[in-house]
This record gives sequence, structure tokens and C-alpha cells, in this order.
Amino acid sequence: MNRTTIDRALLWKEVRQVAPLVWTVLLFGLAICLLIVLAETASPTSGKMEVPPIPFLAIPMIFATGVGILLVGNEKDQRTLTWLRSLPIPPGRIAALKFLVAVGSLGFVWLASILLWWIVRSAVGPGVTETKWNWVGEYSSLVLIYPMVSLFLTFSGLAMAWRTSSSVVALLSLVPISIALWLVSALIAKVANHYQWDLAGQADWDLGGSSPWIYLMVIAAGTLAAFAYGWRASLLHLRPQDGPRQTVFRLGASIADSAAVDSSSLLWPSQPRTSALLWQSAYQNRWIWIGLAAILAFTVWLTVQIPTDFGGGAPASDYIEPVVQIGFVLLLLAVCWLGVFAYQSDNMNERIRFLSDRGVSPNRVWWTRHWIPVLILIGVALIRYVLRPYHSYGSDQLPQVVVYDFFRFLAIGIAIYAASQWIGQSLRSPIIATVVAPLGVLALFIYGVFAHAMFEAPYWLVGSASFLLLVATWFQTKPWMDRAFGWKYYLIHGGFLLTAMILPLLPGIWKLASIPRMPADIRESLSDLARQPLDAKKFAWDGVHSDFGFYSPSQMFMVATAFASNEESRKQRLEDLKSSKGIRVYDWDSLRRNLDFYLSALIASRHAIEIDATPETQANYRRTIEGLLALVKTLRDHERLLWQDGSEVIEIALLGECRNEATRQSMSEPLYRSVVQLLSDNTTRDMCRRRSLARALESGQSSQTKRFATWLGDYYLADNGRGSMVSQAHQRNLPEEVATRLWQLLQKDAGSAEHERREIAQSLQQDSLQSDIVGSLITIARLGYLPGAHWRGAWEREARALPPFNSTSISTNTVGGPNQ
Amino acid sequence: MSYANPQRKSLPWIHGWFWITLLAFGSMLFLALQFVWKEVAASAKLQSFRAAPVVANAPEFAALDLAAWLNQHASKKATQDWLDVHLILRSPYIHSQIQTLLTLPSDELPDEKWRKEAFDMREQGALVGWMTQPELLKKFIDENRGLIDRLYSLCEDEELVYLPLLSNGTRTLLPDILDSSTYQLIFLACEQAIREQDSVAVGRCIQTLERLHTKFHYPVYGIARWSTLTNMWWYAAIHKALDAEYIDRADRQALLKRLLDASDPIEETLRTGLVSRWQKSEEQAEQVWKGEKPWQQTDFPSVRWNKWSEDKATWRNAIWNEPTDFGWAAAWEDYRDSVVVRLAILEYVDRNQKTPESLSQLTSIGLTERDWTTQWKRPYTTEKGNVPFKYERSSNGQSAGLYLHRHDSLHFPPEIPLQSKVEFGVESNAAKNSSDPKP
Repeated sequence: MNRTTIDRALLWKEVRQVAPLVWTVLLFGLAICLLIVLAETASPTSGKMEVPPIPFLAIPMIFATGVGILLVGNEKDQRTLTWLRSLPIPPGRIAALKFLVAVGSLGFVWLASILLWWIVRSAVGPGVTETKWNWVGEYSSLVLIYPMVSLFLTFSGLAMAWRTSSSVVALLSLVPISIALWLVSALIAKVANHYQWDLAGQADWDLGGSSPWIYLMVIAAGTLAAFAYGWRASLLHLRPQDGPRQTVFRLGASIADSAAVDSSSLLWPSQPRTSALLWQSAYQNRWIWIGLAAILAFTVWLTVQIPTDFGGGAPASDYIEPVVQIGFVLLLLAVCWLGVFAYQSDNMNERIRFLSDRGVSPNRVWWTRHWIPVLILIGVALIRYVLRPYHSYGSDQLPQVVVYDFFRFLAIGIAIYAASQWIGQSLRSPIIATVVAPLGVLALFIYGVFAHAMFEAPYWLVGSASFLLLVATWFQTKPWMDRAFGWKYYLIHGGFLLTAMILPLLPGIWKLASIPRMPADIRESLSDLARQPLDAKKFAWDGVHSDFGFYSPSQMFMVATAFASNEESRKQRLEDLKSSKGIRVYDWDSLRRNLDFYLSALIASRHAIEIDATPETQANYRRTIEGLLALVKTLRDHERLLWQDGSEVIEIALLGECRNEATRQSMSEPLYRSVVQLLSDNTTRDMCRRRSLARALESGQSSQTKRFATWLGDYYLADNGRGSMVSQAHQRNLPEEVATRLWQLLQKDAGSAEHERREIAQSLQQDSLQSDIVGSLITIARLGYLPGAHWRGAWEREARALPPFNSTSISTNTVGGPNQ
Repeated sequence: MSYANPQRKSLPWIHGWFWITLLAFGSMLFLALQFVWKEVAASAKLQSFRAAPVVANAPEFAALDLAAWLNQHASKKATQDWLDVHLILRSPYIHSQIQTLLTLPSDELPDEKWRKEAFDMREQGALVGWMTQPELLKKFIDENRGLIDRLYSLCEDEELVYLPLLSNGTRTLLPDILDSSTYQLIFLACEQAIREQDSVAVGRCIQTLERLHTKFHYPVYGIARWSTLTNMWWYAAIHKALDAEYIDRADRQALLKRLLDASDPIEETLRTGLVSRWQKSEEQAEQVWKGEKPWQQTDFPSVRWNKWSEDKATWRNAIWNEPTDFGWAAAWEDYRDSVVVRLAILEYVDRNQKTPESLSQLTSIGLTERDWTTQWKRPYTTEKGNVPFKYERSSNGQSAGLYLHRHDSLHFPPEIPLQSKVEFGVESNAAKNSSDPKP
């Protein structure tokens, strides 16, 4: 083999070593993209979404954390280091190749990450070129800091992996090293500020207490140091080493010493299996657990002050400190790693085989792995429980809420632990598992938020689903111990994960499936009605006057003008009404104001008769009623639901006039008959109702604003509520649902459909008193927000029971309600 | 070294883990049991409170079902008439004409600047539409004489009026019969009656304005607000009538007695508001129970009970200590007290033939310090203090002056300007008492 061939072979070996980590982080990046696209697609508000760069910056950072350690740690875990040392290749070349692969793969991940961000921004956002982020200007320091930090993490990982016996310990040691570096930069910044040194940019931008340029310089120095240290350590560990120093003459003694040790262990009293397994687990994890427990206790203390409700009046500035943010991240990492090491400590050097070969019960192995981590979680939750009353505000301080907080914190902790221990058992490499676990948990957390927000999954169900992952590892402990990592192993793990992910969606899917659909016959009837052409001539307006509107003047000199203008408008409207010209309305409010005006005119003309029944007042009363009769027909001709409802308000008011024996006589018999004929003609009214309903449904479906709110004709039904997919589907269906119920309401008899009417009103949260007969009272409410508000009201039955003109009795005994 | 007794014995430290485990799970069990027990106890407390609210201390609870309460306490005799009258008043024409007559020389948004300007204008003189355009006022009142007479006749008794409504908890909607046009129309009629020197009509207007409050005096939150507003227009009408000297001594005494005996709408608002909060909390709990609303930490029975207890304490505190935290309450109190103090001074002069040396002497008429002093707090500031009415007396005690505005409250309705200072004189008062009111 020549040098080139050797280099290629070694390079290929190194690339294969880092490949799983590359694919894992890129998979994570793709998952982020998918979630962003999903969120944008499902969002009720369309438009350009600002895609933040932070998740895409995190991908190379995560990769950098693992790549250096992976390149060295794998050699140690797979015991290939001795083989490498034995090769006739200079240690410098092997080390150089490792550094080359580390930097090269990091560059590849950086490029891939930026590409992903660019694709996502182009797909759902304004595009990278249109971005508001001025990278070269305002955030120029960040552009340098992130790549520099990733390089630092790579070299530090490589160096620490050489210096420590366990790659996991090397990985964990990156946390204090990074914090130390940040503290150094913060300290320098503080000193610089104290002495007012002019360090570039120190006053511009705050990075957790340090200026970006100081931080950048410290990181650069740290990177150089890590590189130098790593290079030296590589040469040291890769150089050919001497063989065993023991000679053949010492061999006997060695064997004797070993025998002595073995025999002493045989003299130990035998242990119960649980005790032994627990001891083994505790012994091999003791430093990891002590370290993680310490981090957990510290971070719990840091984060205990954060209120449940950020708007609860607590001083928010105390919690937005970078230290608390770091505390949160550390808390999450510590719980994740607690879960990962439940299995990974047994994965190292294939330790679990020892137990597997001796037929140890998988069940016993399973629960002895979880015993102490779960105890640590309970202990940490108890620390929070003790601290919480002294560091919370408002209702968070109540003893019962503190207990609730304890159980909630514990449940969240165990849910995270469950997810991470599942990842720990599913992945063979401790390094990849350690790096991937926080990402996996984060992805599952985002999925949980998605399930809650889009499918209205209750929190308890989202949390409970994660417990399935504990069942998964219990079920899979035996193949894991036997190292049977075949397709079946991964398929079962995948099945459990899929079940855990689908479970929270079930209530939402059930709600989606149970949304009532419009029956085909009703749909067909409504479509037929909507297709019939409108006769525009019926409501052509030939009157000429200004818009119906009264106004208040803004200047004092206009008081008289406004007063006169209002009088003129009133005069015109009254003339229009009495000449049966009809009504000119152009919007919802205009219709309502017109109706108020005309109904007021009706009552006022009746009052005038009551005060002084002259031929003039009686004629005025009759003309008003004639005008209103014409108005009912005009409003019906518009075939608009709101207009139709307006016509029914007039009908109810006319019913009140017909019931009033005193004024009935002023009406004259022919007019009374006309009114009674109109009021008792349910067939024509129902036909008009159906037509207006069909038009309303048709116009609602073509509304451009339906994505934001739901309309049935001129009626605003609801907004998009929670914005979930379930809620949106329900809202989209709401016009059809209401139309179906209204259609079905028309198939019932007046007075016997009160329950259905109330249900429709309550479903639209419009259950105020509508125009109708209540007891013996005629109530004329303002034209409201409830479509079909008067359909099948008590007034319809009362209208059919109107007595002949000369009768002196009015039937009111058919209507329930308060007694007069 | 013995091989004979391979006793199975756990490592000593395992006992430690055992005890720790026992302690951890024991603590959890204890916390869970304690939690459940306390929640059950709090739930029982809520249940018992719900079953038997403290009616003696808070009669408003009896009206949680307002429709049922109205059926029991209100008269349906004139309901249809009220509904009809309201239908007339709902006319956009009447509404717009009233607003035109109440126009002030500014159409800016009701911000501080606008209110300050309106206040200054009140000091300078009358600029409101109904004062600058008396012929329009007359025309409008004449045109609506029938409607006004109908309102007079509907307000001849003090019976509560039944209104049809649907009981719907805190969302129960009162019919919009309680519209501002009603009391504004009567106030304008009062002003016109003063101009026409019709003391009978003035008396009927004042009575109608008072009854608009008493006839719809339901123990619910919204009504208390209505009472406050109608009261302010009533007080303004009394001031106007006193300015014109249309109220004789007997009527003044009766008015003063009624004013001193009347319930305080601010306290009513607070009390009914408290009931409203309780009702809201109950409704929310029901919605959570039915699955209509997502559950929250504040829905625990213990938290709800605690919140309710806190509400009671803080709201009671607000009633007794800082009533003028509510901006409109300051205006109401200013108006009410100005009428009470003015009537009391007049009564004092009648009784003693001299003006009081200081307002504290009005205790002999039945007033307390609270009637001429207010604990005032400027909204959104920490500025506060006790502010009495400014009262000036001549050295011989024969005349005195009372400033009606205790402080520059920004919540006075500027549409009803009052003179800033009223004068009292022993001679004029004596002369007034000896003759009948002006025709």
C-alpha cells in the first residue's frame, strides 16, 4: 500500500465514523423544516412567515459538540486504538486526518444547515435576500461567533476525548469548559468596563454580560489552545507504545496475585440479585449521577422563581436574565442525560453482555436501571417544592398550588426522562445518544405542542403518551441485553414511538370525524334555491334623497343646521314609508337604524291616537301600517337573511298592533285583513326564509374572509377560535351546520321548537331576548346577531290565532311565560 | 473466613437506598393525600356557600337568577307601556336630536385635553347646544310632549318594573330600555320647564328623574351603573331648580331626607360586582367541568375559594377606604354631596336665620363629615387627599357662598354645566319662604 492508499483508507474510516452523527443532525434539521412548514400551513393567518435562523444555527453547534469526541471516543470504545498505534503510519498523519475530517464534516453541516434555512425561508417566508436580518451589519459579530464557537467545541471535544478514559465524560466536560470560557469573557468585559478600556463594540451589544468582540477574542484564543492541546494529546496517544513490562518470570506471580484477588471475592457473602444489580448500576454511574443531581439541584434553584403565569404581576426582569435561560437549558440537558445513561453506561464496552450471559432477568435489569434516576427526579422535585413558596408570587404561592406544581414538575421531568431513556436504549453509540437525546426530546416536545395547538390534545394525554416509551424499553430490555439489534428491534421501538405520537391526536381526530355534515337532501334543496335568479326589478329604488343618517355637529354654529337636517331626513323617511316606496338600506347598521326609526314611528302614531283619536291621527296610523306592510314585502324580495329577519321584526310589531283591541278599530277592516293575511301566511314566509338561507349560505362560501372568520350571509358567526385544525374545521363547517339546523327548524311547528331555537342561539352564544311574544308581552329587540332569530317563535302561532276584525277577545292563553 | 454460612445479605448501603425510596414515595403519597383532602374540603366549602349564600350580608346573591327575582319582586302592570316608550326613544331621530342639543364645542376624542377644555368652558359660561339654541330646545320638547307626559305618568309610582329577559348568568343581558336618551330627554324637559316658569312641570321632571333610578333598581351590576348616571342628571336638575328657586322648603326637606336615606350606588356597584365575580367564577368552573374550556391552575376549588375570600377582603376595603378609585364614583359623589350640602345649608338658614359658620355645623341637619368631604384620588396617579367643599361666609353671617366643585374632577358630564358657586343669604331665604314658589 502506498501512502495515498493508506490516507484514503484512513480517511474513509474517519468519515464512516462521523457519518451517523451527520445524518442524525441533518434529520433533526429536516424535522425542524417540516414543523415550520406544517405550522405555516395550519396557521389561520396566511402570509410571509419570518423563519428564525436560531434552529438552523443550532444544528452545526450540536454537531460540533459530538464530532470531535466521536472521532476519538469510537476508537476507545471499539478498542481500535491499539490497532491504530500498531500501524506503520506516523501519528501526526492519523491526527491530521482526524482534524481534517472533523473540520471538513463541520463545514459540510454548516453548508447543509444554511441551505435548509434558505429553502424553508423561500418556501414559507420572505426569502433570504429579503430578510430583515442584516447579518453583515448589525449582527456581524454573531456571524463570526457561531462558526468560531463550533470550531472551539470540535477541538475541545477532540482534546478531551484523548485525555479522558470515557468519551461520555469528555462530552460532559464540555459543559463546564464552555461556561468557564463565557465567564472569562464576562470577567474581561467587566474589568474593561471598570477601567473604561475602549474595546471594540463592548457597549454595543450585550451577550450575557460580555461584549461580542471580547467573547469572540476569548473564543478564538480558546480554539487555538484547544487545537494545540488536542494535537499534542493526539500525538501522545497515537505514538507506538512499549509492550507489557512483565516478563515470563513474573508471569507466575501475576497469576498468583490474580488468584488471590479472585479467591477473596469468592469469600464475599452472596448478594440478593436486586441488591447486586442496584449496586452495579449505582457503582458504574455514581459520578455521572452525582454530577447530574448537582446540576439539577442547582438549576432547580435557579429556575424556581419563574412564575407559572408570566403576566401574573411578578417582576419579569428577574427571570429573563441569561443565567436563568442557561439554567433552563442545563435543567433539560441534565434530565435528558439522566435518561440516556440509564442504558448507555451498560452499552459502554458491552458491559450488559456480562448480565445477559448469566441469565439475569430483563425485568430486574429494567427497574434497577431506573430506580435511582427516578429517585433523583423525585428528590429534585421535592427541592423545588420546598423552595417554591419562598420564590413565587400571587396564586403560585398558595400551598395547594405548590403541591400541584410539585406533581406537574415531576410529571414533566419523568416524561422527559422517559423519552430520553428510550433514545438511550434505541441508539448503540453513547456519544450519539448523548448528543441526540436533547434534540429528540425537544422534537417530541415541539410535537406535543403541535398536538395540543392543532389537535387540541389535552396536556395530560400528551404527557401520558410519553410513558409508553417507558413501556417500550421494558418490553425491549431482553433483546437489548442480548444485543439483538436487528430490524425487529428497531421496528418494535418505532411502533411504540408511533403509538405514543398518535395517542394524543385521537381526541382531535374523533372531534374532526364527528363534525356534523349537512344532509344531502338539504344541500340539494338549498343549492336549487340558490340557483334561481333574483328579480332585480323588485327592489329597484327610484327615490332620490340623501343617505339615511343623522349626525351630531362638530361646531356650535352647525347645531341649528344639524337639527334641521335631522328633521328633513325624518320627513323624507316618513314620506317614503307612507307612500309605500319601500326602504333604502346599504348595510347592516343602516337597516337596523331604519327599522328602529319606522317602528318608533308606528308606536308614536298609535300613541297619537290614544291621546287624541282624530281622523287625521287615525289616517296617519293607517298609512304607517300600510307602509310597513309594503316594507315587509320589499325586504323579503331582497332574499337576504338579515333583510328577511328585519321583515319579521316588523311583522311582530304589526302583530302587537293587531292584538291591541283599542287601536285595531282605528286600522279599518280591510287593512286589518291585509295585515292578518300577511301574518298568517306561513307558507310564503317560509319560502322566503328558505331562499334567503340558500343565498346566505352561498355568499358565505364565497367569502374571501372565511379564513379569519365565519359568516352566514350578513351574519358574523364566529372567529377562528383557538386556531387549531379542529377548531378551524368546525368553523368552516359552521355555516352549513347552522343552515341545516335552521332548515330543520322550519320543519317544526311554531311554539313547539323552543328547545331547538335555544340550542341554535346558545351554539352561537347569542342567547339574549329576541323579538317575540314573551308571556303576553310583545318584545321588539334590536335586529341582532342571530340568524333566523324569529323562526318558529311563539309569535307565529299567535299570528295564526288572530281574531276577526270585530272580535273583542285576544287569544293569549297559548303562550307560556310570566303572568300578567 | 467462613465458607460454611453463605448467608445472603444485602450490601449495607442498599438499606439506605431502601429508606430513601420509602421516604420519597411516602412524601409523595402524603402530599397527594393532603392535596386531595384539601381540595375536597374546599369543594365542600364552595358547595355549602353555593347552597346557602350569605343572604343576610349580601342580598344581591338572591338575584343570581335575575329573571326569577324580577318575577317575584317587580310589577308587570306597565311593562308593555315601558317597552313601547322605549321603542319610540330608540328612534335614531330622537337620539340624534338629543345629542345635537347636548353638543359641546369640540368633537375631539374624550381624552384629558377635551375634558379639561370642557371644564374650562363650564367655568366660562354655557356653551352647550341646549343653552345656546333655546328655540330648538323648545321645538323639540313641544314636539315630544306626548312622550314626555307618558314618561311622567309611568313614573308616578315607585313600583319596580318587570322587564322580560333571559337568565344567562353573568351574560344575562338587560333590555336596552335603560338608555341614556330617557334621562337626557327628561332633563331637557326640565330645563324647558324652568324657562317656561312651569314649577309643576319642574317638580314632575325631578320626580321622574328620581324614579327612573328607583323603578329599575335591580340588584345587579349593570343597574348600579345606570343608577349612578341617572342620579347625576337628577342632581343636576335639582341644582337647576334650586337656582331658579322652584323648590319650596317642604319639598327641599323631603328631597334632603330621601337623599340622605338613599342607598349609595358606588357601594352597590361594588357589592353587585363582587357577586358578578362569584358568578363568573362559578360559570367558568362549570364550563371546565363540561369540557368547554381548558382547565387551568386557577380552577382548583381551593384556589377559587381563596380568590373569593381575597376578593371579599379587597372589595370591602375598596368600598370603605378608597371609594373614589373609580373615576365616575368621584363625579357621582361630587354631584350628590353638592346637592345634599346645598339643601342642608338652606335648611340651616331656615332654622337658624343665619348661615352656618362652617360646614361642620351641618351635623345638626343630619349630615356627616363624609357628606362634605371626600377621600379623593386622581385616577392612575398616587395623588390623593381629603377634599372638603370650599365654603365662604361673610363676617356678619348673613351671607355665604358654596363652591359646588370640590376638585377638578374630570368625570363631570360637561353637557350639564352648573354654576361654580352658589350664594346663600338670610334675607332672601326668609323672603323666599314667606312666599309660594314662582308660578
